[in-house]
Amino acid sequence: MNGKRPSISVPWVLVHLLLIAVSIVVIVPLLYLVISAFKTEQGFLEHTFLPLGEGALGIDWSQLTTKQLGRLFSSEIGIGRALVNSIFLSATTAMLATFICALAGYASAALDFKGKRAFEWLVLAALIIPPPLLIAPSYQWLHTLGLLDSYTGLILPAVAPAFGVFLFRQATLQSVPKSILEAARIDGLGEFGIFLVIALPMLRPMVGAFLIITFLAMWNNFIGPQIVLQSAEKQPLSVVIYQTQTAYYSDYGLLMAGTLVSILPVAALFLFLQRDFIAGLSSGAVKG
Amino acid sequence: MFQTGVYRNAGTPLSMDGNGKVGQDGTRRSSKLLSLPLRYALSPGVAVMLVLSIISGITIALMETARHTGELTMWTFAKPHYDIYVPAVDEWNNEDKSEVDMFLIGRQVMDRRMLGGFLGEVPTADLLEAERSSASLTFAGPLDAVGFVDLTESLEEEGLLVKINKPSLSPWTYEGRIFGIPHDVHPVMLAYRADIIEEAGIDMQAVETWDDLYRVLGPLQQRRSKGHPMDRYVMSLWDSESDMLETLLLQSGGGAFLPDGTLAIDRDINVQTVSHMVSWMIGPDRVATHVPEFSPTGDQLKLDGHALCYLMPDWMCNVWRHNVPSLEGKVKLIPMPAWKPGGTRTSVWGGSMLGIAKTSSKQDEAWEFAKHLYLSEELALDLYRSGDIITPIREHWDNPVFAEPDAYFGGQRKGLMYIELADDVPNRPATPYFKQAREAVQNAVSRTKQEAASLDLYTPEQIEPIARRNLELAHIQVKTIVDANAFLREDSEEVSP
Repeated sequence: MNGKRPSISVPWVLVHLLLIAVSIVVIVPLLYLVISAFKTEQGFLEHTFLPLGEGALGIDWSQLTTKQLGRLFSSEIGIGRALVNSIFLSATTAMLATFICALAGYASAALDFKGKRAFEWLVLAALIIPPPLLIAPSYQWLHTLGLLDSYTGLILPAVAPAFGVFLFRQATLQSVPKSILEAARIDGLGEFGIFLVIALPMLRPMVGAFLIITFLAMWNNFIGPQIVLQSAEKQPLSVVIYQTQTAYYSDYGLLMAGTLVSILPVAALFLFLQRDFIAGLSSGAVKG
Repeated sequence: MFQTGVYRNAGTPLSMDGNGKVGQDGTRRSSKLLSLPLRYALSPGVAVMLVLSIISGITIALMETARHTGELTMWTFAKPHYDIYVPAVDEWNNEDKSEVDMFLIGRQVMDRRMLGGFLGEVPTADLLEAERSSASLTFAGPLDAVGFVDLTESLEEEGLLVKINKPSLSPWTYEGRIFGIPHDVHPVMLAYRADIIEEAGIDMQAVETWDDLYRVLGPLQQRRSKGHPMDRYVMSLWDSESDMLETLLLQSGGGAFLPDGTLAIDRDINVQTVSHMVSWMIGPDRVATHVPEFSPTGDQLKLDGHALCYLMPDWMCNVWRHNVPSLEGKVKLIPMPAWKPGGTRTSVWGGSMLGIAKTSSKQDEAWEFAKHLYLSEELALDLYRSGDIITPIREHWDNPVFAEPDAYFGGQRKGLMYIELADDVPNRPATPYFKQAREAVQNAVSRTKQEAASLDLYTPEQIEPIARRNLELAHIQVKTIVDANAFLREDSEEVSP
């Protein structure tokens, strides 16, 4: 760029018009969600966006309220505890799953060991099993292990997903040159040290991406917590927000406020980690 | 196990300094080495996750967590039910009895857990409050394979059968045995926009049949201008609303099943009823429109007065009260118009029960608690006050609460009006196939509507042959599924469970 202004041409204008249109498609539902979270029940039903009226800027400000957010954090709903539960479950699972998948993926790609082929086939086979098929056997196992209604019961089955192992295997093959590993071995570094000091930093883009993927997967997990957890105080956000909708009626304002609360932490986290998500570290690693 | 050939070939194990260089003295500079992984591995993402995990973990550890030490467990699927039951459970637990832990569980999850518990060996609750679609899943095999405890003798011996509204037992009665205590009656009335209709000088009390309704209210239908669809229709009814279709079929004496549970989708009464319903939904003078329940769109259409009349089971009163509060005083109720003079003026929509799992090791205690919960007058009144639901326990119907005027419904004594209809609620057999049957009937109605509209056939008589053909197809479709069940076939004696 060097401070140069981009030359405005017809394709440039068309591309930007297209981008603006796509942005509107993305932003409008978000805007609807945010506004709806602050509307009264009546305002929600009567106005699509801001309630129009005789107030300043032509808006009926009396129909905007923070009551729904207040209710969410009151003892009636108790979303504060659910928020902490979700953060704990998601962050812990993300860390453990990333570490274990990175270890397994690295081992699969960089080491030769007995049963390696069988291990790889097992990972591939596990990839094609639809998760709902595993609900009943997992539940039985957790019962046998006495882990039902515990955070461990939810975290443990999620710490070594086959998808993650395969992802890190491929990432290791692509991003970690064998010559570097061999050099480290010649220098006498142990395998775990090589993994931590050499491989893991070179896998950082994948680590960043997988952390966010697993964090989001657990954050949005809806069926799992309902199957494994029983106590109301252990339920995560996804379940608690769903439970604000009763079998008989829906409080849309409350639902919107709950949804807003549930996406804000994830959005903030993504914005904070987006550089980590896309960074590349492997370039130039083999310069000699 | 790991074949790190290069390392082995190097011969002498060497030490390494903080920069990855190997020291010549053969010792590892462990402190620097340990700091390396942290420095390299602690990317911002890992650091953030670590901090979040530790802080949230400590917060959870410090927060008070209720201890679940109950000897009995109960699952329910509806939060309003859960909230109502909390005082009764606390009261029970304060007495010197088996302590009860109650859990709120999503309906689909409960289905999975319940069937897993009944058919497999996974644990399940001692008491399960199940909605009709969930409970009926367990009625697919021989009697002794039903996962709920047979309560028939207990109900008879303790004189409870006469206390409970009889039709309310039917969805939980399989092969003549009762497997649950009913939670509700769910009679249906017709709600109408009194503000619009009474302003037009129309007396709804004079309406006795569906024909009366459309004749009397037809003139109130409005069209903005020629060529436009109507702005206002008489009735909220559409082929996509399978619950409404089933409600009307049951009211007419039809339905997908006979009282003994035999599939009978293609019987004459269903053909006639479907023909009439379709005739309401099509043609230039159609009288029905689509106002979906449980949706903001539908709520807005209600506010706009897009339809004048709505099917209204008792629990739906509560839905309206919450979702369209501004209609307070503008809505009133009458018994459903009958299909013919002197016919039934109500139907039924929805229903739940409380059952005891056969796997429970404390069935006697569970039974005592079930009675404490479901037969209590206090609970019956709470159900009505907070959920507009009529209890099936007849002895509570005399309570003055049910005679209180309801401001939302123009000061009508709504409770008594529903109670007066409770005896006439149609029986519904317990069958695991009612969902498939309901879906098949809905498809048949949709196909009939489409075909009749495309052929410009608008009267029930013209529509009847199309309806019959489509219902026969629906019958065959569901029968194929039913016949796949070895236990329900005529040769079932030869099949061991």
